[in-house]
Amino acid sequence: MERKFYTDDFEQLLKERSDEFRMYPSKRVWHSIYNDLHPGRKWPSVAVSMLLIIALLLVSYWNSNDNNSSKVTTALTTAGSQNISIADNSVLQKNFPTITFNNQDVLLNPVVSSNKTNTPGLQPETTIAPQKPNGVHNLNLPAIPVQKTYSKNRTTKNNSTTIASEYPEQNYNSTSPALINNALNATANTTVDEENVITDNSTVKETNISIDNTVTSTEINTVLVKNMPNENLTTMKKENTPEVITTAPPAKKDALSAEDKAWIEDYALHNKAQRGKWKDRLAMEFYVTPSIGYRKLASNSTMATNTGNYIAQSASPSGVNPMDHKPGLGLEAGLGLVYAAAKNIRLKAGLQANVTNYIINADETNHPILTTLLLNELNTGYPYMVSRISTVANTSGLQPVKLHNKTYQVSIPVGFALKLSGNSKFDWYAGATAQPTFVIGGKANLISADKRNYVSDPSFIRHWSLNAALETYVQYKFNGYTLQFGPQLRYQLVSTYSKQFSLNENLYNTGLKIGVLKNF
Amino acid sequence: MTEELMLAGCLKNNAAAQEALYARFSPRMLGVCYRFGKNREDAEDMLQEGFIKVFTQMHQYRNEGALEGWIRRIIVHTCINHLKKNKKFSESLDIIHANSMHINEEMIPSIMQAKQVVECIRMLPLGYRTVLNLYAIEGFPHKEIAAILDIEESTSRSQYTRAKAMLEEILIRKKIIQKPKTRAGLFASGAQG
Repeated sequence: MERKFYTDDFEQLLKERSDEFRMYPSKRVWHSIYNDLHPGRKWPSVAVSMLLIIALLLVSYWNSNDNNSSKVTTALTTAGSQNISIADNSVLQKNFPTITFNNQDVLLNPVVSSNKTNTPGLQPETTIAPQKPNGVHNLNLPAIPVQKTYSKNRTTKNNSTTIASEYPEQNYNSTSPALINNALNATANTTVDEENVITDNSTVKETNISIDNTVTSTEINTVLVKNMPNENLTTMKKENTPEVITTAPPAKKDALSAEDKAWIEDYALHNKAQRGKWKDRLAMEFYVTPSIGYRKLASNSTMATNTGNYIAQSASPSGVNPMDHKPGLGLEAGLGLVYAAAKNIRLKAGLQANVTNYIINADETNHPILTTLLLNELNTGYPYMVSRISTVANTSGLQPVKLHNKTYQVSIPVGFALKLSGNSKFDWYAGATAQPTFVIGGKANLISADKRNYVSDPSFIRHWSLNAALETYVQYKFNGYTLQFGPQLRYQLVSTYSKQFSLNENLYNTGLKIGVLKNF
Repeated sequence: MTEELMLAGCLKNNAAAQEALYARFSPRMLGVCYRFGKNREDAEDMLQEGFIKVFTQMHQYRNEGALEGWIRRIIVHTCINHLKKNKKFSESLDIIHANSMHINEEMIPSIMQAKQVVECIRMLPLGYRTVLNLYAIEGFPHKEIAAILDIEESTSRSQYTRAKAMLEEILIRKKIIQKPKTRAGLFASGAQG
């Protein structure tokens, strides 16, 4: 290598060495790429994660159940009432009369149980209550086992502490979690002599508290057994002999926890939430839709039921042209937010300005004409006429004029778009929006009751309206932007005019939407 | 999975094919990004951005050259774009600034083989490193480098010459290469746009 560098191919050697170099990216990179390419497929990983978490919880639950379901525990559980409350450590250290066990069997089983291997009459394991937070601790004895070893041939001195003289009813009170904690870690060596007279030499391993001033379960057990009548001990020996304790030691539980912890840490590392992930899904949209607008006219339905004949008489007077209306140019422009809720679904909301327009071909009159508008009395439902002055006639022979019925609106389109097909560059969407609309103003040329004239009266324009839009478009991704292009149909669901007016007018616009999207 | 299958799958936005393609090329491409980036995290960001471009622009691949070359080109351009977002990058293209760079002995890492060379390249100032990466390793002519980095072609040439000299100094100090007998030998293969 050294020699090669001073030949004439410095670059070549540099290239070769550099090309040999490889690094392995972390899983995070692929996850990010995958999520970017397949935003809608996140749910399987979420589902799998949920399953794993549930499985972990179940395993933990069963594991703790296994501890509880050891035979000693089972015996304890079936024994009846077994609550022990520990109120004060000092009491335990100095004065034990407060310790009460409610059930004899409860005490018998955990204190001394059989073990065929070590001691014919005693079990190597017993249980103590689980650790609880500060305060008064109500302990269920069977919860956590503590392994004990009994040495048959060893006789040790008796512990000087006496818990109670009458064991059948004792209350065990302490506020010290440390005591329980130490008890959890305690391994007690207890000796039983041939005559089942128990003396105790309890030692506590891995404890911060001296055994001299701390009462452990072993001590309790020992004292309890000591205070037990001999006949009871004998009975207990017989009852417990066949039982074998297989409860896992606390160390096993710790190992499992470490494993779980490692798994969780690993899982958290590779599944951590992406920074600003919502930004990847959210885009700003701007669009313009030049459109052709027209209208659909119909009789005001509420009014027509009451005034059928009245309208019929005035609807088609002789010598009157049918209304000559033509579509007009309109425009919609809006700004909105588009959220990719799933791979194929986009939710959108925004603000849109609309101009609706259609043309009325009419004729100017030489002089103002008094005419009437047919209206509906909203309270009673009966029709009535109002007089208006008009200079535009729906009759021929005068100067032609073009009127524009226009409205200026602001709407809030809320809707969705569904991806129908697409590839990496082009996508085809179809969508719909509902558009609560506020009509700022406009021009309203209303046909008179006799259809002969048009009356300009914008006050009849309804201010609040509702529109619906259907659209389909093709979008093209280009240099960080997404361009949209496609037809759109917008329909006004309620009449342009107030309920008073005898006609309902529903506007509709067919346009070509041109939009651009930019991700945040 | 063959390259054809991967390509076909990627064109259909098939996740398995995409993952296969990523698994095949990402180690080498991360090596490329690492040479350009300031650290591994930076390189991974470039790699991520680059592969997204690869997958979204897969339909533009015409089977006219090696797929790896095509991917590599996208990755390199992504790296450059990534660097351009950083204001310090344009400053680093200033020759005077880069010329004042001193190399301390302790800066030279103790590494082996390919990684050794790459780490030595990474010790160069950003501007030098970028030009050297593009010219000597990626094979871009100076004209194209000038266009990519928005600099003069002559700047690219001089940047490369200085980068090469500095890299040689690093490699000599690290005893990866021997000192040349004549200075002319050092630049025997000098910048040829």
